[in-house]
Amino acid sequence: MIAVKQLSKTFTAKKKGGSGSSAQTVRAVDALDLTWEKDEFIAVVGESGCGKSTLGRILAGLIPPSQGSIELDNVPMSQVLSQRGRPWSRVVQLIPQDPYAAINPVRKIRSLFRDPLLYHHRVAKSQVDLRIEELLAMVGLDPKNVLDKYPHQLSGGQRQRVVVARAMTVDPGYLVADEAVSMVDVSLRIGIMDHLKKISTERQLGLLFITHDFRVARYIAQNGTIAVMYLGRVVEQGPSEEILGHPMHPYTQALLSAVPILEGREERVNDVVPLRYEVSAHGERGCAFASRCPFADQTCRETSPPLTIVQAPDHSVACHYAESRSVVIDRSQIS
Amino acid sequence: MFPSEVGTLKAVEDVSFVVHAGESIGIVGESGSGKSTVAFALFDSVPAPGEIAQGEIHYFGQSNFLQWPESKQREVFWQKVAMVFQAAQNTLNPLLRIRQQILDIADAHDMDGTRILRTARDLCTTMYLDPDRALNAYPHELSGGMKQRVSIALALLLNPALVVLDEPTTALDVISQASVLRILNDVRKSRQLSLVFITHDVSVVSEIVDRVIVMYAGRIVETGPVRQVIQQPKHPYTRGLLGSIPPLRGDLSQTRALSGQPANLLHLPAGCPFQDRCPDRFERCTVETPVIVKDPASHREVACHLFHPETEERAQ
Repeated sequence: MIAVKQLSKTFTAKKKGGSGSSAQTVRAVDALDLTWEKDEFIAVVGESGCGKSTLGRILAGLIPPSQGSIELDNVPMSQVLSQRGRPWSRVVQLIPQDPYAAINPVRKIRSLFRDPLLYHHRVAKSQVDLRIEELLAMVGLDPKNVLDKYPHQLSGGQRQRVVVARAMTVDPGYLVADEAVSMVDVSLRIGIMDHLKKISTERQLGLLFITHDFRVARYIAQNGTIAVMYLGRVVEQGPSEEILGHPMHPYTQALLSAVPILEGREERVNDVVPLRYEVSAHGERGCAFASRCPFADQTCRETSPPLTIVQAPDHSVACHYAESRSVVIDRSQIS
Repeated sequence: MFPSEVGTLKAVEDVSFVVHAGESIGIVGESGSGKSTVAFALFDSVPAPGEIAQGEIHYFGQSNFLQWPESKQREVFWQKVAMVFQAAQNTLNPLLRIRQQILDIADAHDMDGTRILRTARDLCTTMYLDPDRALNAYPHELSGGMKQRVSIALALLLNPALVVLDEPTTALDVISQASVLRILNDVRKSRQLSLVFITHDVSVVSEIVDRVIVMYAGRIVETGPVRQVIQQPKHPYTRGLLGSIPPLRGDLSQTRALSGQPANLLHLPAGCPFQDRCPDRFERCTVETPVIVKDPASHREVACHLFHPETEERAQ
């Protein structure tokens, strides 16, 4: 289990301008708590700028948190190497968003896999090629067709599969996939997600899938968890069908009602339109969503609501009025 | 056609459609389906080395636009037909305030700057933008959604009758996307605007267009009223495409990936271009390319050997 406690990440941007230089601080992740079980699928949903990618990069050990801790089975991140004998990169692997930028364009696919396999001593030298073929087959690629090609000779979907396979070279226990299908054609997304789900299920990996798309989130976290992020915090979290069928936070409701629906196949539900389309930074006090929330009142602007369990067993919401505002979507009315 | 080192690539073949006044049509297809090439062709500006090998475009009942001299073509751009490009937020000049870019447009079309700025202010309000802020801003001072709305406002500036939008919401967040779609729908109705909306995402199109054109490997495989096509897709590709979109509610088990890879335009098989991925393929598909057949009763057109309008009718 990976436990994230009170995790914060701030970025400081130097503001240059007339009145000297003053630093501007952006809180990308704000005192976030998260537990991630060993074989749990979590879909993190949010808009750009909500801190979901920053969270993913911190979890993958690519950037250090500003505050808070991350523990693997009660061992702090910094001591995992000495106590468990594996570097963090073998605990959590990141599948990056852009399969065009994530692969070195001047090296063949074969060498992309060789180096991590040999560096981390995953296989004997004589076995390398065999292992690479296994990895590629795992994501549904024919090794013969890709091994000796350069990245530019592959299609977007093939590249995304290569990136998924590469993350598996070091046998990680957890995978963080950051918008791993958003650059791929709609018709090919399901195929890649199916492979990702299959690999994770078979090896009992934890899968944290970062996305802005509720349809993708639902498909990945079918029996798992959905966490909705807004300005660095989780505002709502729970079993995926519970979140989709019974959203309680006004932001979740707004996001869900903004998903384009297939007219004629699906029906639109309760429209919740935020007051402003743009995300606006919030001050020290109050609920982060208050400035856009159509239901906000004085309490919302003054006190920040904590993430609390509202609906047993584990549907938690950070909203003062979660229960009174909750909307039950009646499944029987949806054809 | 795009000549390339490995042979000439036909990005679009035999695509015909009509857009009526006030009508909005959607062109849907995956990457490489030729949908953006169609958009460029509408402006006779297919990027080099590509060229339009054949075909005609008639705007508002006039002669073939493709044969007009460039100077005459220019008169049509923005005044009659405007385009919002893919990632339109990047088409704004980063060094100029929005106001200046609007004045440049006025200049290029010999129009009165003050009057155009007044129109621009109105348009900003329609787009839920604060006119003072938007007009005085440099592009980097606006968010992605705001830039996209600015580019749509620019396209509407000279009051065109037809606007072509190439993936106008792809780079946006869901909430911004919903706002842009809502605005486009309002504007379309209030101005009797014709829209050609190009996207890879069928669900986006279903909310804004009357009629949808589904393209595959450079050809039209299915057209029809959007609701009907989504409810009862006739072409196996349309069916596969719709079946690969996970529903927000209800049964997920029917969601399936379309098998195979998108068609390689340089190595199209003889016969139907979709045959390699088609679950319903039979012998005829490998020899004969299906032509588009129209069902006069439902106004639907499908290019598939399995589509027979007469029996369809009886079945309904």
